[in-house]
Amino acid sequence: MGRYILGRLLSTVPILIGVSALIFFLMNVVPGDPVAVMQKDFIDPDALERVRAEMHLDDPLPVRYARFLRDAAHGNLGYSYKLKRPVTGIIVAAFPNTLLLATAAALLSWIVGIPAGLISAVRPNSLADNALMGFSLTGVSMPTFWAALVLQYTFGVVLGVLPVAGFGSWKHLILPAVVLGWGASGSIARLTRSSVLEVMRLDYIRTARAKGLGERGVVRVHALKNSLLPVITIMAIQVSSLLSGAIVTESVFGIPGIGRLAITAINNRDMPLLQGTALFGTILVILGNITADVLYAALDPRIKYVKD
Amino acid sequence: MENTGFSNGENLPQQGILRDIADAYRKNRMAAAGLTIVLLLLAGALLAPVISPYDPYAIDFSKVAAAPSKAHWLGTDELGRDLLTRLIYGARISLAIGVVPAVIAQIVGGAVGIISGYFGGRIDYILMRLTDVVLAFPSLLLAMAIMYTLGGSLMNLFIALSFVGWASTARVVRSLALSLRGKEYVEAARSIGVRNAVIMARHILPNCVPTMIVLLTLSIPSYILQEAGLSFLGMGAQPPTPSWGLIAIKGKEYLLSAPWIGIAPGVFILITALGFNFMGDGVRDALDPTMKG
Repeated sequence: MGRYILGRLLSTVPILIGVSALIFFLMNVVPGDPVAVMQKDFIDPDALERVRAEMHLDDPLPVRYARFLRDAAHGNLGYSYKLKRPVTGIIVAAFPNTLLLATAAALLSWIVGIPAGLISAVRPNSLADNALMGFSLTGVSMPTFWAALVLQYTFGVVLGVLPVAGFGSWKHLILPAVVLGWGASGSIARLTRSSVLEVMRLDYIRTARAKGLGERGVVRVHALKNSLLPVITIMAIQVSSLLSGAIVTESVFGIPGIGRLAITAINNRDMPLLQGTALFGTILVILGNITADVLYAALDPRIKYVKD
Repeated sequence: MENTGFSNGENLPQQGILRDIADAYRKNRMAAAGLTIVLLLLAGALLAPVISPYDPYAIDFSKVAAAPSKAHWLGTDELGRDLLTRLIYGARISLAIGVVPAVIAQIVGGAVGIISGYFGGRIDYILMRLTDVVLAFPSLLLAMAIMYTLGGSLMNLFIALSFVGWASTARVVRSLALSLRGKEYVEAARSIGVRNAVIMARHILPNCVPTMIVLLTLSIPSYILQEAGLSFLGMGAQPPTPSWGLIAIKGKEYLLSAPWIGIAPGVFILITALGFNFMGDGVRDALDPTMKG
């Protein structure tokens, strides 16, 4: 297993290089000079030239990309034009906020989604099933920003029980976590339902029923464990959608996390910052995928990774 | 949940697909409801100038952010434009933004997947690493980066969303093509000297189509939601386009004084996405009962 994980980690290197190249070239075909962004009220052309040379902006693209890669491998993601601090430090400072938000949302989505899917699957096409699946599909179909606005208005403005926006206390975390977790709980509930239904059709479940075990026992002892397998892997793959959702959620609630950094970067044409956040986000997604595979292998004895 | 026909492998004539879909809709009320929503929306989008009472771009400063009333069912926005009218016109944008990238993503992803799965080897390796790169990106972040490069406009949204979307189709289609290429009839075709391009077009592609239709329908709502998110962040459609996400940005500013501006477009997006999701579930049950989740 250790060797497998190591191999998987090494195999992400080409993906990271590909991702960084994609970001780098996307950013650099844009007209618009980062130096001009940095020094808005600073028009002396000689000085601009000097800064540009200092930042190596005059070098050819491949040279700059090679330099970026070398620095990135050393943990140096460059210097934010807008915030005027090293990008690595900015990301490290912002990440705990995003992590807190995403963890709260993920926990919420599991606590709501798994039981909902289970109840649905045990009585398919019942009233409870239809209601729960309607609720799940609403979660999946709901625009994140809209859920945020509605909750802000209801709890922040009309009822006045929770802060509309901001970050700091646990109270500030409730609305954003619900917003982000609702959609995720919808997909988890749908997946749990179909996965349990799938397992309930298998022969060993028929055997369990035939030996006289009650329905509750069939589900709890036999069906649950196997049907949660795909659900657990989805949890790890959630990273990507949680990050995407966090961009909007953080923007609406004013949470100083990774998503907000990405928006700041785009609005200010801050290339190193956007590059850094994108690279960091990608690393998180890849780690999520590896975790999913490792969990799958650890939980399902049928899957063994061959040593080579 | 009986298997209504085929999940993979068997080559069925085209009308089989349509009949399967029609059958499934007759049995599945949710799917029928979804289809109805989508058709209503389509009618609204096509007939927007006929059914909407106002001009979506007509500014009227005497009625800025007016509350819903008889004259303006959903009120007016911050420039005094009728909100309902703008939302009806917005249906055109949302439908286009849902369907166009979904179709492009299926075509590109399908082609990449079939080529990758059919040829295998080095071509497969290279194409799949490219797919990995796109899939490793948090999708909204990639779309944002592309919009940053291209600039905010409707056309660029099509490009950005298609670019984000093709990779997941490529993955699924590749594994299908991989299993199809070992089938006897493919081998038979190859043994009598049929060219690769013809085998892929005649023998592999038709068997991937049902799955691709399912992916297409189920991906439409996600594009609509992504567009709404991008426009809401100011990186999608630009004013005065009546995009639902763009209208909702103003809703954030007017949350206290005129909450309907933010809430109404969200309801439209929600209903649209729900409609497509219900419809997509129906298509999936009809064409590919093994694909769930």
